[in-house]
Parts: sequence; structure tokens; C-alpha cells
Amino acid sequence: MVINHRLANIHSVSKALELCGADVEVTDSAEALLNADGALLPGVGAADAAMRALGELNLIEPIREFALSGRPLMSVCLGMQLLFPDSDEGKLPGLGIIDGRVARFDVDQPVDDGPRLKVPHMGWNSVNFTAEDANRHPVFRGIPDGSYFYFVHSFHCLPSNPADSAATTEYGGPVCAAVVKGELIATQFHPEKSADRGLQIYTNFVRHVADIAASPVV
Amino acid sequence: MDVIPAIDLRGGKCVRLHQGDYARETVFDDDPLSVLRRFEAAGATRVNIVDLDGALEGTRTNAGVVAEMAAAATIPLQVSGGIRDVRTAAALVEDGVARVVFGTAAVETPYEVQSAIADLGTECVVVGIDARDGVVATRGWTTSAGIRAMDMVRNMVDLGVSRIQYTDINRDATMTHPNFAAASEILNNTTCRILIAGGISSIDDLLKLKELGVDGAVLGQAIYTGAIDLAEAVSAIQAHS
Repeated sequence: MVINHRLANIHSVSKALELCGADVEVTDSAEALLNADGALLPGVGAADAAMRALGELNLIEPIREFALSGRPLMSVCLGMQLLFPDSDEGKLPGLGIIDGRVARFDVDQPVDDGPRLKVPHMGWNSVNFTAEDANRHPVFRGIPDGSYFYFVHSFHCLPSNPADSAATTEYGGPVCAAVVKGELIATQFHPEKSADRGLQIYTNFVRHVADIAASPVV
Repeated sequence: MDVIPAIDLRGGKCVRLHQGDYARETVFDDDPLSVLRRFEAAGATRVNIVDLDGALEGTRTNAGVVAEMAAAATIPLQVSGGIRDVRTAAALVEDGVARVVFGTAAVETPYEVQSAIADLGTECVVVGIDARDGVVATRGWTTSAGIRAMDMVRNMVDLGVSRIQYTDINRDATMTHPNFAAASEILNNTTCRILIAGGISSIDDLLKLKELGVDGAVLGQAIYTGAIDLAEAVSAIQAHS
């Protein structure tokens, strides 16, 4: 189930998930979302616009409810930033499912290949996971440390609990590249634009959603 | 350095022109999406899509195909041809295109490039400078703009452009060598990043471009004729430091 707040790269994400074997439905219906085995919250654009759209579609509470239900919810790029309570980017509160905040890149900071940090951080960058392969969430298993993923973002997430950060990349210092909390999985990079490694993550996600759906309710 | 295979579109098909001559067209594939999939499978980290009808006419005849490719692509795309204003550029970025390339508009209405940089950010914007005998050509290479390519580069850098794609028309689809001299001249005189197109015919050409500090090499004819194996080129460039 891909959550449609009409402001995201819905097509890219759905096509990539289909390529990875998912039975994809794009929806803006709370009922359809709450009946899904797994969901993906895409994101491109500005935080306030996305939160406003989710509010108008009455999807804010259903997304929180889905996240608490223990079914896998994946959030991408702005989707990851929306999980936090608030963002430097906007005035509206975020979904507040993960503690921490979303900050703007410090543009005055010097970097290796130029006098200043270029914002947005856009392009391929290498990602290192915080846990050994066997201890990672199944969605990130089998992805070698140092794999390159495609990023486009001007703001970055700062989870309060270091245990929530699943991966980092370097951009003027370490930057949170992925978050995992229970069955909430989020990436700052775009798996759908990150070639084979990105598709591997979606394939893992699709398989994981099926595994969870098939496992008996405890 | 990005190794960037090109898909040139005309009437929804994947074609190649010889030195930009619209009368000398070869259709390489009826299905641009399958070409994109082949390039992805070969390990390309970016693909260049050229809307040839758009470049000539300024209207984006292949817009539907391009949008479909942008949605389907699992790697970032850059698109050129017929992008004459910031609105068109913004729509492409919304479709999921990573970079838009301004050609004719950069010469005729440079304020559109400036607005695109302001609205979309400098990383999304590339200016394509297509030079025939060192002079800029526009409108699908059918018109001479009467301005020296190097002067154009300087003007664009002054506008805030951070990435330029330099295409040597005389070398396009000729399978000779890229214009190393022009690449060096731009790199030595400006701070912008540069993509080189036209005439690249071997992995040695690619390695030399990388050594010069070129940001990306656009490949057309060489991969379509099989002179360069894309997968081999990608690994050779990644292995070479």
C-alpha cells in the first residue's frame, strides 16, 4: 500500500515496488491503509505541504495507528522526516512517531571538495549501517557497508535516541541515512533511484511484509 | 566520474542522428524503456535522455515517454531537449528527473536558467553548450548562436550555473575522440563541473577524461555500436582512481 498524499514521487516508488514483486495499491483512504499488510510513505517536496495534505485527507491518525500496529511501514526521504515531531523546514507538527528533530544543513560548513556545503545534498553517497548484518532489521540485511545510494535533501534527521539511527552517510559530518524503530523503517535516500542496492531494499521490504503477514498473531 | 549513456528520442523511439543531422537518423530501438533497463543492468549511475523533437521545435513532443521513463528509472536521469522555461523544468523535476539540461534557452532567455537555479537548486540545473567549430549552436543544432563556446561558459558561470555539459558537434557520432582541449580549457578557467559529450569511442578516452577531472562522460554512438561495453566501462572507471 503506497500512501498517496499527492505530493510525492508516487509513480517511481510504485513502479520500483512492483519490480520487486509487490502487489501495489496507491491509496488515500484510511480504511484501505489500515487493512494493508505493509505500507510505504513516499515523500518529495516541503514538510508543511505534505503534513497539510495528510491532514486534509484525514490520514495523520491512521498512519500513527498503522505504525503502532506492528505491521511494516516504510518511509522514504521527506517521508522519513515526517516521522519526527517537528522540522526546521516548516511550522506544522510532524507525525511525531520517532523522537528527535529535523534540522537544516549547516551551509556555512566547509567540505572537502569545496568551500561550502552544497544544499541540497544531491547525488550518490556511501552509506554505513550502525549494526552488523545479522543484527539489522531484515529490510537492510545483505546490503554491504559502503554501498552507494541516491540522496536529494536539504534537511536531515536527528533522532534523540541513537538506537533509532540505522545507518549514516557523510555530508559535512555524519548524517542520519536510515531510521528503524520496531517495524518502522525509513530511509533518507531514495531506494527507487539507487539502482540494484535500492531495489534490494525494496525486495527485502516486500518479502518482509509477506513474512509478517504470514506469521501467526502473538 | 559518471558514465552516462544517452537515449535520444524521436517520435517516441530511441534513435541516433549523425552529427545532429535530422535526415541521417538510425532507429536503434522502438522501446526506450527496455534500453533504459539495459543501461541500468549494466551498472550506469545516470542516464541522459535527449528529446530530439523537443530540441528542434521547443515543444516537448516526447514528454509522455520521458515521464514514463522518469517513473520507471531506478537511477537518476537527466533530460534535455525543448526545455525552454522554468515551468517545464520544474514539471520534469516533479516527475522525478534529477537534472534538467537547458540548451537553447540558456542562449536566448538566460533568465529562465537563473529562475530554474533559484527555484530548483543548482544541482538540478545543467547548461548544455553544444559547439560546432567552437561556436555555440542552438535549436537542435540547426542554428548558430554566433557566440564562442568559451564566452558562453563564462556567462553561465556568472549566472550561477554549477554544471555544464559540453558537446562537440563535429565529433558527435563520429567515434573519434572527445574534445580533451575544450574540457581542459573549461576546467582550468572555471570552477564549474563539466560533462563531456561527443566523440568518446574507447575506455581509454573515458579514463583520460576522468584524469582531467571531468564530472561525467556522455556516451551515445560508442555503446550503440558496441565499441564500448557499458558494464566494462563502468567498472573500469570505478576501479581507476
